[in-house]
Amino acid sequence: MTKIKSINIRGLRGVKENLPLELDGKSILIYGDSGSGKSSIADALEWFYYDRVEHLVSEEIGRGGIEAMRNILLDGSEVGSIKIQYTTKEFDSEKNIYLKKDSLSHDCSNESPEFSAFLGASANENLILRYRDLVPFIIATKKQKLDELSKVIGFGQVTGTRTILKTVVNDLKRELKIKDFDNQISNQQGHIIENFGHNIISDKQFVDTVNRLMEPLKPAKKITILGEIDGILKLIEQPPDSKIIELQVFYNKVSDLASNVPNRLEGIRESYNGYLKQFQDIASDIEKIKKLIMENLLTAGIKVLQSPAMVEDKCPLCLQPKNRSELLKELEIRIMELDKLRAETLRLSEAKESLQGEIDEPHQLTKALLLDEHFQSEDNKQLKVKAEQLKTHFENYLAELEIDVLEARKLKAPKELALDKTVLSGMADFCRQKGDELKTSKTDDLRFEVHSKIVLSKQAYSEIKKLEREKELLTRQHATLETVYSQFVKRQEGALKAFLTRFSTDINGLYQFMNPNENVKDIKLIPIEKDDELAGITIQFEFLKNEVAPPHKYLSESHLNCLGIAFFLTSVIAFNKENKFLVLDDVISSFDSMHRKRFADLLNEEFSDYQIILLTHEKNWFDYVANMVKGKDWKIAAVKWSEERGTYVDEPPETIKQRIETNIKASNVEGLGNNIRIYLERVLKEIAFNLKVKVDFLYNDTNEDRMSYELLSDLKSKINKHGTDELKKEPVIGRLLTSIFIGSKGSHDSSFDLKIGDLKAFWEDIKELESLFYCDSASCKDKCVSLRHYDDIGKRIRCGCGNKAYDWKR
Amino acid sequence: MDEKIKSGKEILDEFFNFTLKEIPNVDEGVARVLLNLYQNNKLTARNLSNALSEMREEQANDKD
Repeated sequence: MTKIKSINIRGLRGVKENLPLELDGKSILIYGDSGSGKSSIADALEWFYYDRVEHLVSEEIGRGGIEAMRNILLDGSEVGSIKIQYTTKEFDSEKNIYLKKDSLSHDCSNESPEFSAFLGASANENLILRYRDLVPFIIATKKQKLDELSKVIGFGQVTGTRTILKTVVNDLKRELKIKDFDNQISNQQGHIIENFGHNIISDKQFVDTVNRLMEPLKPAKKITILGEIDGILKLIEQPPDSKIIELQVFYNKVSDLASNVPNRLEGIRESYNGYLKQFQDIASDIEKIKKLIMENLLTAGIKVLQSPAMVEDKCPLCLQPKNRSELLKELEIRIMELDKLRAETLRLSEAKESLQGEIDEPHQLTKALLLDEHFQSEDNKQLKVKAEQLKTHFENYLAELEIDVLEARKLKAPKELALDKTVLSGMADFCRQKGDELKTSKTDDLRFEVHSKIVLSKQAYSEIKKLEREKELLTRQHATLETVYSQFVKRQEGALKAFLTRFSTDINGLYQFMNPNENVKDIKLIPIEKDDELAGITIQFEFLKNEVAPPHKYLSESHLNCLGIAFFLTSVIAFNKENKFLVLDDVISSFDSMHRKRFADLLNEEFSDYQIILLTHEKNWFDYVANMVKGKDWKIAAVKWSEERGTYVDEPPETIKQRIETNIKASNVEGLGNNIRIYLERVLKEIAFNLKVKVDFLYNDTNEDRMSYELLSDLKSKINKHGTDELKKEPVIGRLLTSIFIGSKGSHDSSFDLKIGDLKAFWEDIKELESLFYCDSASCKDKCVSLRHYDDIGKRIRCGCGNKAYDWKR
Repeated sequence: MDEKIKSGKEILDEFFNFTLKEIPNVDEGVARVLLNLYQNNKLTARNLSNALSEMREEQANDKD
């Protein structure tokens, strides 16, 4: 697992100039007043890792909050960036955000597959906790808790697979029900019984029955297998009889359809009801419709831009200049933001497709049957009308399915689509009556009777075999899928249970650490099932010896926040596999003093192997933690904000000096002028403080923001008034007053071309100023020459050890 | 605790690659279809339904 060696933020959120954090893999405690912009550090890290900043996401701030990332005071050409160096060097990267043709673009310096994989894996890790993120999980609904945990654990895919298996199990079950094989088989058996006088359960029985029926006609030979039936029928068939038999077959088919369709219609009606509800959920919500319309536009935009014909760098809609690939990227991001709604429309489209499939089979069957030439006969005119009504009934459903959810139209209610009950019964009655008439017309014709019975029974027997096979295959698939589903559920629940048990133990442990000897015990995450489905998770605990839930009914805000922190830290331990650091941004804001102390102790004792970036605006807590981590290799810093510099780190001078020396050695001018200016301000402030140099009165924090020129001028006046020639004649103050613009130019005026030579000379002058007022003895404990060490007898100002001293008139 | 908890992907991999074969009374063809769809990242309700339907059609024709 990797830690962070250094972070440098520039031009992001409140940070205008460089905000460097040299961490070397160590933890850091950062103090900053409210409004100092310390959360810019957490925002920049969140953007670096997740490509979005959750608390900035809103309708006004598009693209996952990214539009609020670049510092608003940057010039058009300036780049906002966060550069992170890791203890694992191959992950070092800088992410930049800049304006390109008036549109925000961003890129990343590290394009290696290793970094990409690292970033991909990190996207699922819990790295940043803010105060506002603490309680939502705790007070979320049971379902939201389940969804959130599923997301954290990566169970989303497991839950999705479970849903897929269940959907298909249900589909197969439904198909078995709709096809109602037993009813269909029974219909066919009915035909056999009607003709043979009994049912047939084997080929041999069928063959024997045929031979027995044929006996009175004295055939030349008996048949032994089913395949010989057609041969023997040829011997007895007469053309007029065949036509009548064809008609009997026709009436049987129509009658079968009329018997089988009611079950199908019931299934279709149920599915249509479900589809209608989903459709209305979307269609009645204007915001959803707007988003869907936009999605259509964005998707169409992507297709247009991807076309090889589109080579110009401009928006094809507004014709404004725009980089094509940037525009494509923007459109893809906006489409991604519509994910939830897309899932909803996908479900609707799946429901539509499934319903279309359900309607399609009986619809096609009816259509095919209507092509039968017997429908053209005048005798069957009435039957044809009814069959066409049935066909139209299916088509009415299909027409409703063609209505786009974006059209401002309502779907018809199931009642409006209902089929007249007399249609199917009328068809069945008609066929039965016609069949009877045909039989009666040939009552005394033995040859016809035998022929007809064998043909009709053979057809029914063959249909039974087909239906049995179909039933067998479908039943086998259904049984298999049901078994697979039930095993899958067992595995999923087992894994979830194991996870929740471990997770609960850890949350409880962390919570108890922060709240010892209190009334809340044994905190547990409990899965809740409803209708054989995992419906949610609740947080249960023992409160005054009773098992209770949910926490927000019983706990104070401080305790709820403790629970939120315990949940976050447990997630860190459980799921962070790539990053060994975490950012805690002002998380103790609502804690009372006891909880603050216990939380600090918890971090110190239980998370000492993690690199922690701890941001706070609570001065007392900062002091407590600073004292606690003394000697434990933590870094401590403070951030401030000024109009001129934005958010910056108020670093100790030694750190700045070290960075300046390194950059001068490497001839790196980037940020060097700025650093030298900051350093000079620090040195001058200390000298001015020690010599009681008087400056104009300013209010509060602005008093701290003294510019070097002001301090140098007033220092010179003070020396002229109180010092002797020894100091007055020193040329360095005068030199600095003339060269001080270098630091200013280097920090604010990009048009000035800084040379490393100018900066070196400037730096040498500052070091000379330091040597004038600071003692170089290593043992000196108060190096700056100060009025505090004034020698009243010798009338001299001195450093702490007295080695550095000048004549000074009080 | 991180060593003992399986991620969602681990649960799925284990189920489709190993457990599925060991479940008694599971039709081999259906198991093959499931594994194939999962391994090709195409396991959706629609794809599974279509694959099962094609399988039934083929099996019905084989018998004929």
